[in-house]
Amino acid sequence: MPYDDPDPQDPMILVGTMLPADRDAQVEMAYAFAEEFARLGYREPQIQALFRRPFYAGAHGAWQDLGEEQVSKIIRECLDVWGRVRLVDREAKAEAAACAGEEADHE
Amino acid sequence: MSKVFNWHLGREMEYPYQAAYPERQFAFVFNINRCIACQSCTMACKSTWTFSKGQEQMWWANVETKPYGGYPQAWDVKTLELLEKANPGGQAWTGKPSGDPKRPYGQFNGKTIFEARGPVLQPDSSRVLGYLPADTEWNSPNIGEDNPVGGKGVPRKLHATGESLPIHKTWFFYLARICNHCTYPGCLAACPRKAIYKRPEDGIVLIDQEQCRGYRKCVEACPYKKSMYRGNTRVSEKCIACYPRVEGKDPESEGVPMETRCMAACIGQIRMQGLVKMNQDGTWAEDRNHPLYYLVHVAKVALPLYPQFGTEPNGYYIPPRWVPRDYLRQMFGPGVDQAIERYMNPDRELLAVLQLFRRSNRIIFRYEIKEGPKIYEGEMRGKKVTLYNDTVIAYGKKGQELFRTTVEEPIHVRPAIHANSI
Repeated sequence: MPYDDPDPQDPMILVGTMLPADRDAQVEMAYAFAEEFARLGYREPQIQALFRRPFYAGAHGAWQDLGEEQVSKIIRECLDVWGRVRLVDREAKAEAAACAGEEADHE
Repeated sequence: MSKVFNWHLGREMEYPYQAAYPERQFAFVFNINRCIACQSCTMACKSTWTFSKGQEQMWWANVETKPYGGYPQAWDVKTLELLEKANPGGQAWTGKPSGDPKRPYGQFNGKTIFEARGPVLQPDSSRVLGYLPADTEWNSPNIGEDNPVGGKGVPRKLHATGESLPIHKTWFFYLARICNHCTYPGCLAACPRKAIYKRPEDGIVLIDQEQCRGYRKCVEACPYKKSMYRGNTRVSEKCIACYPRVEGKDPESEGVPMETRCMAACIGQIRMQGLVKMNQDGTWAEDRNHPLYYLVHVAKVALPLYPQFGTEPNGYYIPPRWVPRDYLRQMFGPGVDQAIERYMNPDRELLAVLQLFRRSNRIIFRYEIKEGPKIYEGEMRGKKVTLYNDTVIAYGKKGQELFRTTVEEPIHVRPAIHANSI
């Protein structure tokens, strides 16, 4: 836990669980995040930030484990395919007005 | 007990009530491959529905880190263990995933929570196999990762690098969950007051707060543990699928059916929610151009969560591609391998449908693809990738166009001053 060492008597602390730490799974996870966010239209600095920020534990764990160089290579490989295109959304006119208020709320 | 047909299991099963199906069913697809556990969905739900006194422990929407996380703690492992104890070695599937809409995942020959009665079930009057989580098990919506990330003794300040967060030395993924508004709800089956009902128009499962007396049978019976007890009102509460939005009666919606708050808030664009047409026998009516029908029944990339529980949940998940298959087969059934293979090598239609996720807050009832020319052909990790300048168009309940998304090749116009520069 963040503040103190685990207390083995604490019923909320998980004990005795062993799971394989598979490097291939980390690589696959890094590819999945990089590819998904490249498909969403994210650019290289944005995807890099996703991996570097410790608050996204999945991507950041892969970044720590695989290292900056390999993660960057993975991101560039995904962007080489998915970064070639961009997605353009067009709201239907009649509906755009109806939802303008909500979108303004989201900004 | 009545006999009802459960198409997730590919067979008839026992259920305390006779089969009755809504006209349309509230359903959703979550793409786990995109979820980064930002918890925007969790907070959107919390700030809308469960911010009052007595609801502190309630997270109708939550995101938990699998395999070790769970809210309440170990909810799935405990129910799986109860089923295994009731039917040792018998919780198995036969057959193979197929195109048959009544048996898309083969057949489950084990026992569901409605069938696993006998010595395991206490007291005898219980209709559904389940357990009541202890108070401590509700403490952490995502154990290990739901702690403040500040330094010791430094209030209201995040640690600069967040290093107090745990580092996981294994595979893991984030599982976003809400009530599955099951076709055969465990909560409804267990309620001795008949206070829980399924709406005939959209299949949303609700607890009548006037009828509920807080016996907590629903909390015990729901295998997904999405019915929760509120101590200060002494009744149970659960996700209401943001039904004013789904009905189009929320002031924001302007009469147009809108997706729930948790869907609308999703930053990773992992979520799509809709209302699918139902047949008289409880299977989904063929609706080829409905995005959820396509993802579940045509592309078969989205799978139900723990179908072996037997409640026919209406939440479907695109499984994470990096996780060991045994674990995923236990969680999503035998369709996992086919789903991941298809998802990792998407065809033109699947790529287009995946672009519909979170482009709008309005519920999509139909899509159409206008095909464009090929704009890229290449390879990625040894697999062929082809991209087209396609446009996918989403339509609403009344057939009106909601939006269209086009895949375009960006054009860079060289400024006149550099027209001839290299």
